[in-house]
Amino acid sequence: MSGKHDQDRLIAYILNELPAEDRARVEAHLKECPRCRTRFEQLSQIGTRLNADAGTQTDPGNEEAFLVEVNQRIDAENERRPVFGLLRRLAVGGALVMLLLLLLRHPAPDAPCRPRAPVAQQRPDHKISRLAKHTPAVYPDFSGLLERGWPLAGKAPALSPSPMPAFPATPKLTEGVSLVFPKIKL
Amino acid sequence: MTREITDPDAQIILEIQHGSRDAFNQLVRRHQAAVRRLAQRLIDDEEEARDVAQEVFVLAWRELPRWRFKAKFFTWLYQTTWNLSRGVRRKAYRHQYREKPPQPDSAPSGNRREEIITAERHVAVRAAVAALPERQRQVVILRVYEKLSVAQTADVMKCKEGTVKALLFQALKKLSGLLQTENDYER
Repeated sequence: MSGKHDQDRLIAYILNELPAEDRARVEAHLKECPRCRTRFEQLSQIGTRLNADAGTQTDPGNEEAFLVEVNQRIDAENERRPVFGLLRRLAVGGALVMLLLLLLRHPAPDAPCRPRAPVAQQRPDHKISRLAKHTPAVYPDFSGLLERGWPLAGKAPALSPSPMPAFPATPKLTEGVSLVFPKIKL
Repeated sequence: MTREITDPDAQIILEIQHGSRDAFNQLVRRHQAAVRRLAQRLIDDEEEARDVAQEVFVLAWRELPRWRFKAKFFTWLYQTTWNLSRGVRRKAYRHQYREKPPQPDSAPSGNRREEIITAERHVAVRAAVAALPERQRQVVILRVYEKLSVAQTADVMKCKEGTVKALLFQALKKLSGLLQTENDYER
């Protein structure tokens, strides 16, 4: 007996798992080998206590009662499961329908776009009226634009003249003339 | 290609797969003691342990129609019992130190005194086993208390036989240290 092998055999001996021949062999070895004897003395005490503790637990009784209870639980579960199964199928079906609807509403980027309705068929005031409705009074009033039919009737009407001063004409570049930009007041 | 089925429960499981409730009852009768013992070993509360053991068999009833005979049934039973019991144990963990341990009667005499000392020693051993790391505790319970062989324990723990042997050795050494400390403290 040496190394890891004797360690395993020693444990098997402590746990009373060895046949009689092997037990005798281990006992003979223990008489000769002080190292194994020391290890055995350390482990045998705990092995004995564990074996003693393992022997105290009696096998649980009430076998038939236990079986009846298990069967009752299974029956209860079998009754419950069809309802849960139906609910689960309904939930999955509903989720699939929702997904399908979402996909139809938002086509994939590669999918061809829906052709837009001709301009003449669009409601003239659809976007602007909504904008005008929520626009506060300090911003330009677009309602006048709507009355004049913009943007469907061609050009946008001129708004108030710009308060910005006219930008001076850019000087022409000629050879030998230094480039001077005029000062601009903003 | 055919696979040899070595599970001693294979015949019963095949009958269960054909819908036989009697075969299932036979399976429960065969394994219920081991499952309940293991659950009781892991959970202090007897009622909880009974509940877990029943849950294991209900799960087995649900699982067996799809059983592929890749593992032995008793291995699955031990693994499932261990996992369910561990869940219950975790829940109970925070309460374990709140409850006071039963106090022995004052000044017992004769046999009664010896009984108490023996009981206290068993409690100390169980406490030491409970203090082991998870894998070492598992190997001690399966090998020493449940008397499973090294191969069976390796199956349940999904590891090699060498690992089981090494874990058991480490566990015994650790237990030896823990109980030695306790003996020194008693003196």
